[in-house]
Formats: sequence, structure tokens, C-alpha cells
Amino acid sequence: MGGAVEALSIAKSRTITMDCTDPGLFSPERLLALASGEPDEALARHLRSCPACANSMAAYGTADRVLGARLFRVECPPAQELGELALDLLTPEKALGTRAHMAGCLHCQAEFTALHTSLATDPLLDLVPRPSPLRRLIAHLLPPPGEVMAYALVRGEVSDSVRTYEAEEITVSLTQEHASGGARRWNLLGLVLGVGDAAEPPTGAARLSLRGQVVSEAPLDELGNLVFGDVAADLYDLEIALADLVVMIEGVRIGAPA
Amino acid sequence: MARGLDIRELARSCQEETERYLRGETFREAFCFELFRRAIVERDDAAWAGVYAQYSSLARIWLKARMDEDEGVNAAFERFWRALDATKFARFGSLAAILSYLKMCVQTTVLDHLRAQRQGATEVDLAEVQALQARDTVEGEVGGKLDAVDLWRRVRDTLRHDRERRVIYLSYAIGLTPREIHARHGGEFPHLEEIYRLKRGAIDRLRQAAALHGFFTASDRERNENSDRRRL
Repeated sequence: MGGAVEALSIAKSRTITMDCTDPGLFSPERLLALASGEPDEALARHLRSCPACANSMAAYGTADRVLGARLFRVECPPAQELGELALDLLTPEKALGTRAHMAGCLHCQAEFTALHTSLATDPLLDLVPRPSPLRRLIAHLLPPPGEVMAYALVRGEVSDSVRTYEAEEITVSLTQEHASGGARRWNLLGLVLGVGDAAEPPTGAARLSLRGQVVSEAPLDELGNLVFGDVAADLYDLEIALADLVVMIEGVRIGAPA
Repeated sequence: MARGLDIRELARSCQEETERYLRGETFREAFCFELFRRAIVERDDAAWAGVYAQYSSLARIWLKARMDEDEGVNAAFERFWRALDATKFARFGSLAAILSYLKMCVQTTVLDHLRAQRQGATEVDLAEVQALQARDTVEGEVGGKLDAVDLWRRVRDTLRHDRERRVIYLSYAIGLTPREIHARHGGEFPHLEEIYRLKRGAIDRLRQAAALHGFFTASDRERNENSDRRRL
């Protein structure tokens, strides 16, 4: 009985091309493929002389459009659920369900990744004024001065020589130490100074980026220090936003050289 | 100390401490935290007004002009207000945690706005279909009343085979073309031809399903009418 129903159903589905001027030449699947945007010159030529197939292809196209319009993201959780997952505020059961959905949904994966990245940093940092893009300076590497090395030694066990960069009136000294989180995890320590003895330490915030994605943000403290804790070994870009300029340091190697 | 202050003092101290933070000075978050606590836990309207006054400009920054600013900020604060109660607030151990939640509310408001915009764009295409469905007294009754969740339930009930359901899910709920399904889920669907066969079979089945009859009948009628208009 079930087989008969199935056969009837298949027969009915075949009626979609039963009035074709050249029956059997093109399958309904090819009509659907053409309706979905797959190039098919031979079928396109056939459609110009076969109203039945042209009609069938249009029917597939309409069905495709209607279903796509109505069902797109029908099973996706609300954006706020993804946000609460990013903040680790969902119950374990709810989190499991949301993660299970996300595993198969590229849209939710993308939204979650954006939320997770954005929510990983101190939200108040966003209040720090961003300078004009006209004052965007690329810092260049200087030989390591001894006094900055002394500063770095105060902050903990130094596992890297101090690298000092300069961009006009700003110097930035960077060093790194092993983080407690694992052998391949590091803390990046920095000191941002204005040039000249009387210069006030600059205020602002620093952003660490990996292949164009911001991975961490840190404010400069009142002495111009910055700390990025527990960073994976890789090659980063560091952007330091000060009151009236941005200092860019490209290619900051954290961890042992590759 | 912060708990002993009235709302006006609390709001002023919160503002002063925020300015200290921006100058890179030592920052005491207790005042801002208490302002939020009174707004959310005690549902104090004056505290809520203080929170809005202090943080709406930050919410505008988070909005990044991706939607109308007033609409976006108000919707985000409303979302924040509705989502939090005393129990949930107790999980926030710092001002940064509360502000992260507010930031999340702003960003998810934007995401929902973008989702709705995308949906709106496709709804424009469907306007004629819906008009036809609304005019149809018998067949259109089913289709016209279907919202997305109802439609999806009927689609799943109609399709008897898991692989058909899966292809329809990937095609329409996720929005992949057959070629993309093949590329992304090649282990599950190693042959492009099979994906087309399953999808074609599923569409035919859906078109014939009584539970969805009006939905596709109206669509077909639209297509035929358009075709007739073109011929004229």
C-alpha cells in the first residue's frame, strides 16, 4: 500500500513534464537545477520552444523562492540567545541546544563569533575617544634601550628581549613573559611614553589583532602601561589609540619565533 | 557607601567615576553598579533614567550607525530591561559584566534588525503571492494563514524521508544551493545529482500536499498570471 502511494506520488510528480515537446530528453532535476541558477545551454534552448517545460521550470523557481523567503532561518534561535551564550548566561541544557543548532548553521556561527569577539573586551573601553584617521602612525622598531629593559624586569620574569618602537612623539616598548595558562600562552607587556622628560604618559587603549580580527583590548593605565594576558603564540598587529592619534605596530611576534 | 546615596548623588558619582576611568585614573565602579542595581532589582524609575542618561551615548557607539539611532538605543534598553530581573542581576559580579550585557542587547538588537531587513526584502517579492492567497477563499485559506513556524512544521510532516527533510532544511532554512550543500556537506551528500533528486522530489511532494495546497496554488497562479501579462 505504502509502495503504491509512493508510486502514485512519483507518477504525479512526473506530470510536471508530461506535455514536453521532446519527452524524456530533460529530467525535472535539470529543470530545477536551471531554476537554481546552474548553467545549462541545451535546456535553455529547449525551453524557448517548449512552453510545458518553461512552465515547469518557472513553477520550480517560484516554489524555490517562496520556500526560501518563508523558511530562511526558521529554526535559528533569537539573536539574544546567542548573546547570552557568548556571555555564558544560558542554562547548561539551553546552551547545549543552542550549540547543537550552531554546529550546523553558518549564519548563527557568524553571529555568535562576532558577538563573542566583541563581548570579550571591557565595554567601557568603547568610550575612549577614537582619534582622527588622519593621525594614524606606523611605528618602526628601534634598538632596545636599557632603561626600558629595567622596567620590564620589574613586571615579572622576562622571556623575551624588549622591543622598542617609535612613531613621531610616541615610543612603545614591548616585552613578553610566559603566562600561567600553558607553555604556549604568553603575557604581552607594554609601556607607552611621550617623547621628552616632561611629557605626560599618554592615555588611551590598545587593541591586539590577529589576521584582521581584534582578539583583545586593554586600557593604558595612568603610567602608560598596558598588559595583554594569556595570549596564544602568533604574529599580531597592535593598535594603540591615544587622544589624537593611533599608533600601529604591525607584525608583533608573541611566543617563540616560528 | 554607594548604597547610602540618593539617586541624584549616585548618578553624579557614576558620571565622575566614568570620567576618571576615561582619564586612565583609578576608577571606583560601585556607584555605577549601584545605579544599575536600583534600576533593575528595585525597578526604580529614577535610577533607570539615570542609567539611560549615563549609558545611552555608549549604546550609540555600540550601535555603530547600523540602524536608526533612537530606535536602536530605545529597543536595546527595552530588551535589557525586560531580560533582567533580580535573580539574573545577582549573576553580575561587576560593572563590566552588566555593561557587557547591555552591549550584547545593543548588538542583538542590530542583528535582529538585520535579520528582519533580509526577511523584508524577500517579503517584497512575495507581496503578490500573498495578495493572491488573501483573495483566494478556499485554497488560499491554508497558505495565507501560515507563518514560518507553521509552514515549517507542515513541511516536515509532509516529507517522510529524513534525507529529503535534510536537503529542504539546508536549502531553505540555511539558504544553501545544491552545489553549496554538496561542497559543505559532501560526506553526507557525496553526489550533487542526489541533492537535486531529493530536492526536486521534496518540492513535488510539497506542491501536492493537502496541508500546503493553498500555499503553492497561489504561487502557481501568480506565475501564470505574470506569464499571461508578459504574453499580452
